[in-house]
Amino acid sequence: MNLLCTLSSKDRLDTIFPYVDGVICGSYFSDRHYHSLSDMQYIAKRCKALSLDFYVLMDTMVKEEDIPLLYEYLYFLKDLDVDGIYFADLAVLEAGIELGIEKKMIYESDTLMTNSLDASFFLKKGLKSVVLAKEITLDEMMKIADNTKHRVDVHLFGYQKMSSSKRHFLTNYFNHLASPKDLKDNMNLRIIEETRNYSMPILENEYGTKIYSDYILCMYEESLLLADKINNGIIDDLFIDFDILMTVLKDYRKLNKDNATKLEEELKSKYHDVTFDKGYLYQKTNITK
Amino acid sequence: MKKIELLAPAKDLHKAKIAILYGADAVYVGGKQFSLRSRASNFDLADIEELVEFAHKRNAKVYVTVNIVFHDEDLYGIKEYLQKLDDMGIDAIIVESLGIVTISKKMNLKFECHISTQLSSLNSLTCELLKSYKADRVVLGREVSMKEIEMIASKVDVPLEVFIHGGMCSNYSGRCTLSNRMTLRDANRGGCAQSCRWKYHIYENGELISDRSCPLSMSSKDLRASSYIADLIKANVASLKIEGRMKSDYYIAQVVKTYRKMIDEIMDKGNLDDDRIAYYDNELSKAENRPSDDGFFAGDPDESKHLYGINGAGVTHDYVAYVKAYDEDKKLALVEVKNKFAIHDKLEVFGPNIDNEVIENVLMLNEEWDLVEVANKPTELLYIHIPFKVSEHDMIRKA
Repeated sequence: MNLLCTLSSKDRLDTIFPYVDGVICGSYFSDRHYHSLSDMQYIAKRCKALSLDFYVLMDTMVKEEDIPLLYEYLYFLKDLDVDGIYFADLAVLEAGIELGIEKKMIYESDTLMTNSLDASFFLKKGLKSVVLAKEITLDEMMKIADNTKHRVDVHLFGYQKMSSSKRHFLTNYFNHLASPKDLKDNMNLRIIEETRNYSMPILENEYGTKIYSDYILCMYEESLLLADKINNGIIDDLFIDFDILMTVLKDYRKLNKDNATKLEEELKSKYHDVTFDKGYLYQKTNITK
Repeated sequence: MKKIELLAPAKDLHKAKIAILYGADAVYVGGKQFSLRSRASNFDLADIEELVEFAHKRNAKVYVTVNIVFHDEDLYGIKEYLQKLDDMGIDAIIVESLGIVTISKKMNLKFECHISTQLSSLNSLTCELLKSYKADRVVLGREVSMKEIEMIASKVDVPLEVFIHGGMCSNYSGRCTLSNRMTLRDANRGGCAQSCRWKYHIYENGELISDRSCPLSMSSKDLRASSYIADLIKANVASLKIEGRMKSDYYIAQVVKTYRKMIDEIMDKGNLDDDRIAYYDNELSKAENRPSDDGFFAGDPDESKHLYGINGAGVTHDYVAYVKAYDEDKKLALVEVKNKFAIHDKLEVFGPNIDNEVIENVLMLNEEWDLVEVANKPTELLYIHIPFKVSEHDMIRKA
């Protein structure tokens, strides 16, 4: 398993490089951490110098009018010789096939990659990998990994995207109150349902609104179980305090079956005001009401 | 202009038949397995078989949703299920899983594979890719505008299906798991709790910034694309889809009939003027239980297209009776009571072949032939004197 970390700023690259095998950078076609073209060129060059893999995140849905721009962007990434492209919209795959870079493509559908059949379908089409949905159990992940000859990626740590909308919920809401606010790209916002306690990060940008889990997915022990079965394990730094991020990255470098539980307990103890959770690893959701 | 399909939802066999009788060219239904809308009283295989026979006799089609986001454990029995559906002669499955499309094609099944809106197909590249993956039709995501639909339709040769009416997911369909977290009900396997319609407080750095008396809701108004039907027909869209597998027979009848008439009038005249669109909008409003607008058709929705004060759908009580039979000699209709009405209420009848005929000073009798002044027992059978001819499956509502 390669350990990848999302890169919210190019300035962090030199700090985190000893602990990771690669980075994932936001692009013009991603929901967050947008890096300019010159930043991308810098990161690509620096990754080569540091022997890091360089992945690009393209997880927005693509508008019809943006298709020419999509091709331009993929040409740019092809020239940069990126190691992989995480995409959410199948338009990116179609354009990637035309440009002959389908082997760099990784399907990150957020919620849809929940079974071996569909994972195998895309892998047989020549994709590099698929990212498993967060809503399946550890057993299901292991089974899919086995059934696909271990060509899957898994989210290991971070706030998990729970919903994605084209609507601008926050802007519209405050306009409705006749009290307009510019909350675009504001990373300090949370919503809490009126009868529950879950405090969920919410992020609005030009593409719409995303809501993230109230907890940070944390799975040290389970990462070890998955380590031999997956391509890439992903640490997501979105909304994560840098101090926590560095602790986790260092933990992953020294993680083994003898210390995993202890390290996870220490993390939870050190950051006791932060909610860590196993997500759906051991919890099945119900099909019916 | 090319003929366009009107596609209606149905919760059960009765509603599916109603949809066809009221003018749907095709109906989509869920089986007891592998289908979203788990709370809908879904069809067993015998129901589907009966529906296929009923529909095909009337030149209508039957599509079966196989559109859950499958986990491995859900796949057991899928091949046998698909084979049975094919043996019954269904016309298509609506499916999110491209793996299942592949299985269906490898099994040489005759039905078509329509790609569900769960896959959020929003552009021509996605549609082209899906066609190369053997999709026979693509259901576009509800986030596309009319302009985008025209652009996509002009570029691809895979048939497109577009939602024109009904409830809207606030998030991209299939890409929301709020329900999973809030209730452990799997949004993508038929258990969606509609958590987007709940109320939320907003905090910035821990400080409340939303209005406590009017919290954030992500709830959307329903879709009503009546103003765009002519444009959709001209764009060569293959199918116009009504949402609502949880809806009542009255809703299905009214909405299907209205769009049927609208489509036929456009095909006849080439277009509709504002007065005619206003007329049809008024007809649609008779079945509306939540405010509606044109969704993304004119572009990204602003605040006017959201619901902040209303939590969930209200219930309309305008539908008062369902006609089961009519005695032309005595001019008596046998009706099943649906909602309360009284002899002084002004009522109107509508049906597949009757448009809003008014009845005043209703004469009602019960099965003991006693006069009744107020009908207030749902499912009770009554006789109503109706001076003009009505038929089985007509519906009566307050005018």
